[in-house]
Amino acid sequence: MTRTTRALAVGAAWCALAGAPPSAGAQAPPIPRPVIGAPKPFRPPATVERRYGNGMRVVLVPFRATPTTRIELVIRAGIADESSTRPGVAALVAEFLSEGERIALLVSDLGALGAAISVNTDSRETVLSVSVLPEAAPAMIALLADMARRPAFQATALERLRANAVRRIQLQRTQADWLASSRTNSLLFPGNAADRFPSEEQLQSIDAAAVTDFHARYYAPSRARLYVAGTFDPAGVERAAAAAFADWPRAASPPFRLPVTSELRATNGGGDRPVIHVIDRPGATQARVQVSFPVVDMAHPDHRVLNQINLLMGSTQTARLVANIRERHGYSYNISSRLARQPGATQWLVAADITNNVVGAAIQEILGEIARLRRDPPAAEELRSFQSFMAGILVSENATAPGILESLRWMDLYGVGTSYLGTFIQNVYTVTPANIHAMADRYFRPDRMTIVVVGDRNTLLPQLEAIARVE
Amino acid sequence: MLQKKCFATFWANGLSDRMMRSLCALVLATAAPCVGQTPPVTRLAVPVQFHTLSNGLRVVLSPDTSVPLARVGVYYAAGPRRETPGRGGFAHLFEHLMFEGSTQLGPGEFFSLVTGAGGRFGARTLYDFTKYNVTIPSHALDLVLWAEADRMRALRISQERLDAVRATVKNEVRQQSFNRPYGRFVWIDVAEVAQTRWENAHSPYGETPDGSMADLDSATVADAENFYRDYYSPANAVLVVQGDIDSSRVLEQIERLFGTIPPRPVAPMSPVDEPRQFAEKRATRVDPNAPRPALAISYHLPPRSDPAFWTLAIIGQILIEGRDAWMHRALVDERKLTEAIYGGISARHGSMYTVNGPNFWSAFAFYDKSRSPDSVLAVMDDQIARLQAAPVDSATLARAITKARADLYAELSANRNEGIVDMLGQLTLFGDNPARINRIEDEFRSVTPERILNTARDYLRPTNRTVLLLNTPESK
Repeated sequence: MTRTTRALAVGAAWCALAGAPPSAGAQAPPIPRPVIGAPKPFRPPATVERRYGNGMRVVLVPFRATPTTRIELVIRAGIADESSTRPGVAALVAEFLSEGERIALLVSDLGALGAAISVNTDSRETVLSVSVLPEAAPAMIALLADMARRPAFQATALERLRANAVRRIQLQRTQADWLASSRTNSLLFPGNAADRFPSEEQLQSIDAAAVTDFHARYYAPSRARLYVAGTFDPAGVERAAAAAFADWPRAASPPFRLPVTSELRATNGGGDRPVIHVIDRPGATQARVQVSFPVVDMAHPDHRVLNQINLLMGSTQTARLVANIRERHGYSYNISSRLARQPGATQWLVAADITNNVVGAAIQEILGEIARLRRDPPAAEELRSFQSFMAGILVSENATAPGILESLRWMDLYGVGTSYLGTFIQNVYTVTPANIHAMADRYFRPDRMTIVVVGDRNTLLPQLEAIARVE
Repeated sequence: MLQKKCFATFWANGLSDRMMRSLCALVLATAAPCVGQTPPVTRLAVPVQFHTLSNGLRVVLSPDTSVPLARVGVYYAAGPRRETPGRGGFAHLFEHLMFEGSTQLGPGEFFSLVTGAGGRFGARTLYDFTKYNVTIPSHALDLVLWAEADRMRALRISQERLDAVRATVKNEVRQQSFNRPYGRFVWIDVAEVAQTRWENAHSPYGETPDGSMADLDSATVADAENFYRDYYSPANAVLVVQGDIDSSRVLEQIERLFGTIPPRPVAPMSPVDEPRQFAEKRATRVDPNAPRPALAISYHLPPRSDPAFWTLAIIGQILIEGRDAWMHRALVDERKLTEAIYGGISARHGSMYTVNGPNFWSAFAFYDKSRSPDSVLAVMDDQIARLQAAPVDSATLARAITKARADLYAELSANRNEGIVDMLGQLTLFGDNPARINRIEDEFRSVTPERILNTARDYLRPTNRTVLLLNTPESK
């Protein structure tokens, strides 16, 4: 539903030990740290799959760890399917799915089932997702089918939805993280769906025909998948799914294809001196810094090693960049790294909001940590600790219905095979320090590094020019 | 249409398959046949075991063997309402200091210990308490219990680490409060205007509207030691362990690790009750980052022990939540003044389940500069007036109750099901009654049209509210 939450977030620390005495009485002899045994095996929940004659697939995952039913209808219609003259149409079509009096009435009735449907469009897929009380699952499946198959493209709604889209863009442009990532994507992946940001004029020019054409072409059973996970009645859900989707007529939809990983281009003119691209935000008290490298997609074997590099560098409190920038220096609260995965446009990035007076120093520390990763293999003990973490979070990531569906969906999208999850943990431990070293050397070359800073240009310029060429 | 099945009757995670079957059989013996009837309404059946150790620590255990994970939550009744003037934001700063070393752990060692065992952790400061969560593969549970007991036993804080943590926390405040649009809107801005006691009115981050963080700057190691001594004692804490656990063995471990921590007295708390408000308050803020103006109306809440508290939750469902909500229909569909309406109890910070002391029921919206705040406010007022004019029909009420139940289930599933641990912790902190988790739905079901009418008249009156206008820099 519409509640927004705000965290006064996580605690902090990892660095040299400070030997102050205990502040309160600890007279009893210390209790020794327990030694833990071997982890229990992780078995991904079993799935039941159906394929209808029209090409539509249905995947059921009974999983009582979640008290509600999670339903996700995936349509493989995304930004990559837009024509270059109609950017923004995929998301606008998705907006239309909840429109029209008939749907509004149904959604309103579904309000009685306590559900809020969210609709998201990314480069390849539009996903309708919802969690419902189990007794409401069959009715919700029927509603989702109605939304995807029979949206009401009313001209009166078009203007309002376009205006909403323009507002979202205007809000995004006030957000430093969005500005940094969109500029980075333009630099790294020009022409890819990851680099498609419609202008206000382009959005305003999308007409009814563009919307209905896109829907007719890409909303087809061959491009659709229904996932249901959590607590539900499998027989009732299967009947509801068949009634809702099995008669969906086939359409002459272009076959769905993923791009191969794009060539990993040098973006830095081949020079060794870094280039920093600055987006001016006068008066900002912090700077948003994003350092990015293009890498291979998820299906590539190297990606497993890149996953571990990401953890080791910046995805946990103990990771090198967090220990350095946040814990040792206090330069940033939120520094982290991640693999931003998009077909043909995957990148590894480090991002942080940094206080103005230490932006240059923080960037130098970030570059220093990347250079160290390329120079020295990690200690076996350090790597082992991150591998344990990775094995553990695999279990917690897949311990809920939305979590397991996320895994199943990307395994399906990238075609990595159903054994991926079950063999994940054993594969984690086969990666060696030498593998990490080799991959770091392969992917994190200075000439592929892109740095974007969003902040007060005049304030930051002296610091940035001391370490890089500024554009 | 639907089949009646046993699994839909229980969210009985703690039960083994065998127990599930026997429980199911029990229910079926007293209720309807299992298949072929109308669908049963899902009801929570969370197993709850509650113990209090001799040093005052309250312990809640809730087994659930569906996945090999254990979840640990430690809740200290030490939030911003415990702070003193001149030390605003200290509870949150202290949350970070809890990772800086204890009896046997060095600075940051808690992190490496948890992540190295495959776990994840988080901490959060809310108005009335501060919480520490860990989710870990169940074989490593003892390690987490040991570490949590170690830092409940004694803390080590150095000046050097305090300074580093302070710098990080100030960055967090800048990022969350000042360098993003709507960072302080409603949750900080309204309290500053509407609350009369400093304990309730100051920002939980300790910053002031002009961007000052003087209170954080002046915090000392002695402050931290005193805060720990006064509020981080076993008797002021709740420990929840949920998941793939053997309850009797875990309880033995808890007795050994936590039960041996010497008792420490808890400092008395300053009163935080707020006086009745007799006149509407109005205030305007300018947000330098905001692209559009926004308007909020916030009404003082009754205490959560009052049935009106739960009635206001249902009122939130009727007026705000979902596309069938009255304010959504009027503001979005009919008048097209905005594209969404937000609000509820403790809006923009935690939820109705995380707040114990004085707080608000709010409604708020963002709108285009071409619209006037008065037009938005008038529509909100019209919808509240409808609620105050006559009892709602039973269909409207039933729909709202279902939505409230679905919200409850979403809350329990939040953060990879850590929500259930939090709910047990909060119910214990706020009333020593974790078993109430299975009766929260009854609070909603007991709401009647008459209660809604009376609560809307008693609480949603203009004299009980603050109207907050947020302007963009240009419209100032």
